[in-house]
Amino acid sequence: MSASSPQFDGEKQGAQMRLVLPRRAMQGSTGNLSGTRSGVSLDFSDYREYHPGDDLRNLDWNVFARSDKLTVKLFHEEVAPRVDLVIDRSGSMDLANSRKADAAAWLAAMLWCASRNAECRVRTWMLGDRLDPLPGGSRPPAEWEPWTCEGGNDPGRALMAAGHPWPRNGIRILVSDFLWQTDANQLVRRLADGAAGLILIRVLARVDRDAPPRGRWRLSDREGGEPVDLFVDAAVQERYRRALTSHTRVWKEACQQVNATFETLIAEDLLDAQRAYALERNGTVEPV
Amino acid sequence: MTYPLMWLAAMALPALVGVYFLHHRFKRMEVSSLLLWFEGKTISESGSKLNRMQWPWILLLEILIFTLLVLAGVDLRWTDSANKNRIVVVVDNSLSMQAVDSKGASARARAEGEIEKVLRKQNNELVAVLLAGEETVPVVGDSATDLLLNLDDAWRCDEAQANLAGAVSTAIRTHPAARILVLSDHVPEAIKGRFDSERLVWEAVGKSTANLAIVRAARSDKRCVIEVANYSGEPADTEVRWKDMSSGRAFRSSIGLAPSEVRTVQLPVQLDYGDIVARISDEDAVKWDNQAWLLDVKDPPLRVRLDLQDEETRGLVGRALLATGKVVFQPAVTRSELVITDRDLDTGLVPRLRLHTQGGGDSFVGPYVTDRSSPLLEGLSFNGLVWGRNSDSPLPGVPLVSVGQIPLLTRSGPRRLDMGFDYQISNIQATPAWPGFFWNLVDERLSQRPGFARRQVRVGVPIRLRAARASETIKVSLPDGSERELQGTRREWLLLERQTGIYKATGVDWGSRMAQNAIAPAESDLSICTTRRAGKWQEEPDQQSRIRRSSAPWLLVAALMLLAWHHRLVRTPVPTGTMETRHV
Repeated sequence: MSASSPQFDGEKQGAQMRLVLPRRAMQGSTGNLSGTRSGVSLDFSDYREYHPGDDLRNLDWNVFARSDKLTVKLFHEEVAPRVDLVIDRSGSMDLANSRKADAAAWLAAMLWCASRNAECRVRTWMLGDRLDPLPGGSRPPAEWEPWTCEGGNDPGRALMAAGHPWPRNGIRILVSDFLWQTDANQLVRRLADGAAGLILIRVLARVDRDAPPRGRWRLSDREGGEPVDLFVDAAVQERYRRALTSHTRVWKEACQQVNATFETLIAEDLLDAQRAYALERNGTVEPV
Repeated sequence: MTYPLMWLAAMALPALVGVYFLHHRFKRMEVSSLLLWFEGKTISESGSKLNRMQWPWILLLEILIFTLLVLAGVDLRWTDSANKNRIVVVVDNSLSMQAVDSKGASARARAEGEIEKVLRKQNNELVAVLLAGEETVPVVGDSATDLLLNLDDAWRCDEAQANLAGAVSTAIRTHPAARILVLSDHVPEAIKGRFDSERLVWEAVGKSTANLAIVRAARSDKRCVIEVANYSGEPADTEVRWKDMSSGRAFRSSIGLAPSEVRTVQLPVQLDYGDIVARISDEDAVKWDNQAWLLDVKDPPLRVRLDLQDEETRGLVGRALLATGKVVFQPAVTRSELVITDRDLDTGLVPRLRLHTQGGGDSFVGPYVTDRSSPLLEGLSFNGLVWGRNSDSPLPGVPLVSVGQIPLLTRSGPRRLDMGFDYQISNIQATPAWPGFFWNLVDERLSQRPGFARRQVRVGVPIRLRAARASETIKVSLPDGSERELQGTRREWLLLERQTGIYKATGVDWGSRMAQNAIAPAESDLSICTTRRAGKWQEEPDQQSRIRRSSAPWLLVAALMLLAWHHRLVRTPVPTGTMETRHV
């Protein structure tokens, strides 16, 4: 990683920030105790689903016998706050002539560091056609394996198909542009299920935010598909703006229902400022 | 085209097309997702290739609008055929149109130029051409091109006179709404008063020129006579050259003519002289009146069979016949051309005069009723004439001379004459009417001979040619050496030929010759020729605008309508919720 890479810059900024742990538990099936110290006091379950790689000695065979579900017992060390940081690496996150990919990397690095500053264990995931752990994702961003944004399938479907890979009562942070066709309510509920906190950070490029310029455009979806010729006039521009507003509203409402946080960051603004002021304002992160 | 330079604006059209394609090309733009563009509709619902290759109808529309504006600027005009000026041309077909000027151009050639000038105007349409000669003859043709081509063949300028007034009347009658252009070499006095007409233009293309001409030619058995006229205001000298065409003998004489003088020149002829051609100097405006052919007039005598029993009557008739100098007596009927008899003799096809000489009749002193149209009675006086005949002897046929109800001379068809005559109670044989009658009879018989009716005719006079019998084939040789064959059931032919010179006709057992001369004093007098235009076609106040309609208003209206449509097309918004492809 070069000295000027977005991960480096994000890590540098993240060193000065701390993730604000949610004070209220997520609405879920277990836990209703609130911690009093940031980064430590969490209501969490002592069971979680088995994931390949877990220590087999921690399997609760009684639960398996009853329910045919593999669960593991969480010991004290396990119930420490955990942050699952999911980075969307679908094709749309690497839009040509935009800095979305860099912004996502910067954000991921910043949030990783902020999470560590909140004494959380952080695990980083890559979301594309599937949800996979980022190699070296639990290590500082400098040690992350570089990734490329590609793939055309709906990341939402990958998330839905992934089931519940994260431990209960963890904090889940999802960085994406959320330009998915998956139903927002359904997905947010899935993400919020068993989570102590859910933060959805939408990263858009300026070209995503602004209405397209007038003229004749041959639009090609970054994630594939046939290009479409479109004549953009005032009506089309207005329609785009309404669509974006609608998209924002849908995700916000879905997040509100599960008490999750939804924030939109503009990639170019973020990288120019080298600071996520919006996340600071909404209390997601705070300076240390 | 009113403003042809506006075509230069059309050079901007390629630039327009280029700008269009540059401006309207679809620029590529990669987007994160098409989701926000189509409000939740899946891309797959809209299909793959959507209207990718559509015709640029808007561009075509713009090109059309641009073209209409350019054409409006050029101001194309078209000639409304309904408003074209229909032109009828009347051309002088007389001999004087052959006259050439000092540059060698004939009046006919100048007239042709005037026709071209008139037809060069787009609003003029040639609908008919009339040749004005002794009669008016229309030129055949369905189109202006055909008319001009056929005119070139038909317009020979060989008529002895041109009845231009009649031709103009014909033109007015047959084409009531057309404009009339008359082309001649002079302006007749009788026409001048009509120039207030808005339809008639008289273009005289002649030039007043001095001319010497042979205006009369005749030959007798003793002499040839011609008259030479000096149609000029200056004295003129010329040489008269006579040539015997059979022997080649030539005779010359020089004459000097005062202005407008007509001089008679004679050539005594001998018996052995053949056909004579007379010529004067050829160095003037027209050539056709500088020679005349004078044929040898010796005709074979009429072969007469005198079949009269009564000696006295025979003597009376014989002497009268011999006095004509054109008769020879034949012993047989079959070789005769006329039989005079006093009995009921069947002569077949040979013409016969039967004298009914029975005695015991009455004498008549008149009043005589005569058919003066009969050539047999030409020049005869019946004053003091006593005509006696036996009235009981019937005379068949139509009376030519009768007294009261009693016919004295009758005709039954072309070959039967009957005369009641008793010399003992008549004095007709002692009057000039007796030899005059036989002279007319011999002349009539001679004129019925096969061949040309006249030895010498003028151009413009129909040539009468008789066959020996019906359905006889006659070969006619023209002066230029060409031949015609006349074949049919008729016995008499009427030819209209314009060549001057000697004509020859040949039948089964006969031959005949004739000379046609261009003798037309009125056409030879070129002093009355003039170059002048009289009359003017009236233009209607707005005719020019009606004739050549401008297309600019219509083109502008069409362009504006298309422009409005174009504006509507490019402003029509994309319906919400649909994948609109505006690749137009």
